Amino acid sequence: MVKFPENTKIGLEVHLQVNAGKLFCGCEGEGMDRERSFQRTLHSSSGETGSSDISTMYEESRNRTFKYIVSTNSCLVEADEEPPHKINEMALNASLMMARAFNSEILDRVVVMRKVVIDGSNTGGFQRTSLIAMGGEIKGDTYSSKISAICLEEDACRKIEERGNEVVYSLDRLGVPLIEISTEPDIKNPEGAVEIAREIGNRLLSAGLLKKGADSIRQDVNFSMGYGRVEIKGVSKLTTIPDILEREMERQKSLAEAVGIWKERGGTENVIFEANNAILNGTGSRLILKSVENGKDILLSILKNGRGLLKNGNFRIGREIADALKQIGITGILHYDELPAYGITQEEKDRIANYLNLGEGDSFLILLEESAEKERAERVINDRISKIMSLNFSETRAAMDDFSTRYMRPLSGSSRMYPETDISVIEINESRLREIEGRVPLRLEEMVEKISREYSISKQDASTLIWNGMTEIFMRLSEKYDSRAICRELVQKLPDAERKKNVKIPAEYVEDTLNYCIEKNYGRYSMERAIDLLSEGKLPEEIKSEENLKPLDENEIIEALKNIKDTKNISLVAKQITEMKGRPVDTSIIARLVKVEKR
Amino acid sequence: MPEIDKIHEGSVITFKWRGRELKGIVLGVKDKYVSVKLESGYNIMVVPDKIIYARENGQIETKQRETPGESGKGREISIISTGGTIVSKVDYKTGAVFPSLDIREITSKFQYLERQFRLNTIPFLNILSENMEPEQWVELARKIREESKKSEGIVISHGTDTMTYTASALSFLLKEQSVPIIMVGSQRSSDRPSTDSYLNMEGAINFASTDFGEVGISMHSSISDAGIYLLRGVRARKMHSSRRDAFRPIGEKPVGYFQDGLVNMTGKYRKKGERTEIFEKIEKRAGILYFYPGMEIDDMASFMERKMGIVIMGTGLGHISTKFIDLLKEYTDSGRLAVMTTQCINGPSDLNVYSTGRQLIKAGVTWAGNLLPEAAVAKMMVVMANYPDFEWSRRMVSNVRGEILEREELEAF
Repeated sequence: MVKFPENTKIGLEVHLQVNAGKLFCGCEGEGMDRERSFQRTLHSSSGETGSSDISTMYEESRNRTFKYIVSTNSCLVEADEEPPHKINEMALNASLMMARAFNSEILDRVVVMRKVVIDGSNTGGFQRTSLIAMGGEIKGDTYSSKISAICLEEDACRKIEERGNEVVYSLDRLGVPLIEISTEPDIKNPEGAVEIAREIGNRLLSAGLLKKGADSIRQDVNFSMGYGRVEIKGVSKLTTIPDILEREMERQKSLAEAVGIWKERGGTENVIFEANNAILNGTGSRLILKSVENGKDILLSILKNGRGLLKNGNFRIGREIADALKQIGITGILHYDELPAYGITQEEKDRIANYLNLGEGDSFLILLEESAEKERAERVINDRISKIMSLNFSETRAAMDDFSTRYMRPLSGSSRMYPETDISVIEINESRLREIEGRVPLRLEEMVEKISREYSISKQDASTLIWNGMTEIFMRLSEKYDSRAICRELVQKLPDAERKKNVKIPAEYVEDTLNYCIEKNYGRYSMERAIDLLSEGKLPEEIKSEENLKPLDENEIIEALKNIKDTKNISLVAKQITEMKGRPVDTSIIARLVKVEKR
Repeated sequence: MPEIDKIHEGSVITFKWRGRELKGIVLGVKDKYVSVKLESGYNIMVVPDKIIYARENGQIETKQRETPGESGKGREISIISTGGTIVSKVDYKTGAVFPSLDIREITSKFQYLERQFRLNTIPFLNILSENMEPEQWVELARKIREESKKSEGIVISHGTDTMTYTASALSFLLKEQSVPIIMVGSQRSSDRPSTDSYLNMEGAINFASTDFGEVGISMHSSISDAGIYLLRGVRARKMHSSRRDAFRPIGEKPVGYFQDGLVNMTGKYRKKGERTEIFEKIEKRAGILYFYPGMEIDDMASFMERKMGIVIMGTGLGHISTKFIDLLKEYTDSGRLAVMTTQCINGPSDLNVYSTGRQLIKAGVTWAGNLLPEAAVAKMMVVMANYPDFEWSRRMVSNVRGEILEREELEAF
């Protein structure tokens, strides 16, 4: 296990998608993209104090357009063409239940806020979020962590692609309720973070309210080791937390070390570019030739005392500069440490060094860009370097697939929050609290234990029911019928039928048809037949009838058997009879009849 | 310990709430609840257990951007602000949206415009458009006359709710106009990052620099931030309560289109003239009556009693129950005006087709093809006030501002 410094502080923001339809409109949580799309731009605006947030000002400076793909589960609300509707009661209750589960103090009144986010991920340019509860504690098996806040918010659009200055989003995920649980930065190591995050997710899972799907749990990780707080966004898999934090710790360590060397050499001076398109005349570098052909200039600058720090061993200041430039759409940056490369020869490198009168220990930067962009690039580079030199690395970064992180934007402040004026304050009164009292989610292990014990099913089955989100349906049906039989239908038959036909049957259809079979006293074979019919795409209303689900009686079976020659395989016989008559059949009756016949 | 009644809006406080110590700025106090903006940016409304510390005079500082009344160089455009969503901001006391923003905050967003135009912004009214009164239309017409002496074009920012009424009224109040008059509004307030106001305004300023000699409306053509329509004021209507592209031309195509900095005039329009002259009187005793099954004779009678003229929104081709025939006959016989329009909005009213229509004709009801109800009432107010010849009926049915279409193309619906 990698050793983290003593002063390591880790905090989590865990986002859980609630399986309850969208938060402020009547749309479903799931949907498909349609062919329609529309396109928007966003502007920065100021909050009630009149000041604009640094991260939103930063986004506006990027000057991008956003294309939104309309989905089957989006309406005028997602398109920002209609005010939000009333808050989704089920989602609100889910957040209250989670607050109760961790002994967090629930606010009497919930104020819906707008958090300005103008990267296009929200059509309105803000995310609706409300503080539900404060305080409380999450206790895992080994670790525990204090809660700072529990919020209920809207999920953002799903990003599809980024093409130059255009970002394409789908509306399908926008507005899905998210419970955000933020912890204090009191976690000391990555293993603790994993355990706490898992515990949070398991609670909502245990309540049967966690939406299924790859991104139903996402976490942002706050990390500091003495150089300011870094917020790492979009960690989708829990198990990657340790790898990501290890990489981040190493990045900060190397940066600090590089800064030490840099300062020892006497620090640095501002980067100032000058154009010299002639300096690489006769070069064989295709990169250079192509960029000159595209009308770009060759801009050169000394980077005082920077030699060996940009890309050398663990030092990667070059990448820090490139990442910051990339955010304003500038990509053509090369530096001393990485040359000769890209077709630029040692001789050409020396030529540039001589031209710039490079001192020992100095480095240089080459920017392939139009001169008009010179000042913007200089500002970004100089800001980046002085931030690194100040040993304050605080910022928002994005988690990448290879466990590294990339610079996203400055940390956002409180001035990006202002009230959602289209929704009035929601009162959390006694009757609402009473409503959730009996439904406070247990820890996952306790829930498995409880279901297994109360319904006499195996822990394995209880666990499967929970993971498949079928607990509530199971409990309701078990009140009327043998719980083990219901369990078999839900844990074995249902997933089996879905797999065979490669479909997902809505849970309410399953409950509806099984309920019908129970009320009619039809038994197991009818339930299985009902699930088969659902898997063929039929609707409950089409299925629920005697003609479809009433089991064949003995006389009808005898009649049917007359048409079947080979009766060796009983289940095959049952299948043939069901196909012939369109109704379920009890195999034990067939078995008995076939035996009689043979005698 | 500071008492709760000593805390005011703007106080910086530290307090205990269910054992937790919290800090923030007080946004308001109501009953025992204190509304506080926490350091995290969230607003909460709580009953504090105990207030540990409160500092007075921590007024919420509202930074106003300095923006000049006149800016830029080039062609002079006057922007007259009347209020509405386009200049609205959140009112943090009531939590509602209220017109309070300086229009210059919007125009200052377009620096490139300042190279082409000299924008002169004039705060005229600051109201939500449902509060607009006909007297204010006349005031506005006077202001237009004044501004048209120095500007090449006039933009009027206006709430969208009654924008087509104002646009129609101005169309009829202006006898002649020497400059384009472009009305602009927004469906999403300017304090939202997704506001439509900037693009609508950009379109309006560009339309105001053309040779368009009518009163037009500049609003989104679709829900995308792409093109802006120029619609004829007397033929436009707000057809959706919330969408950006709520304004549609009725029975005709848009007059112009603005995209990527360029104006393309696609429809027929009157060119601007030599001078601007206006009517300065308005007759307020005119109104719109919406017929519905079950409407009582008394209801209609009491409404009509106080009016010199009424615009009826009838069903279909312009029908109302025949039980009102006698009442209407009596009304028109007394020299007053009754004009039939249709609730269908699209298409003409025509009283020649059904027997009810013919009875209405006999009762003295007039109709004017596809004249829209809002344009009809505005026209009626101007006509009745300014033509003492009492030939109101004839004037109502003759087309003067493009308000009545002689032909409707198939694609227009």
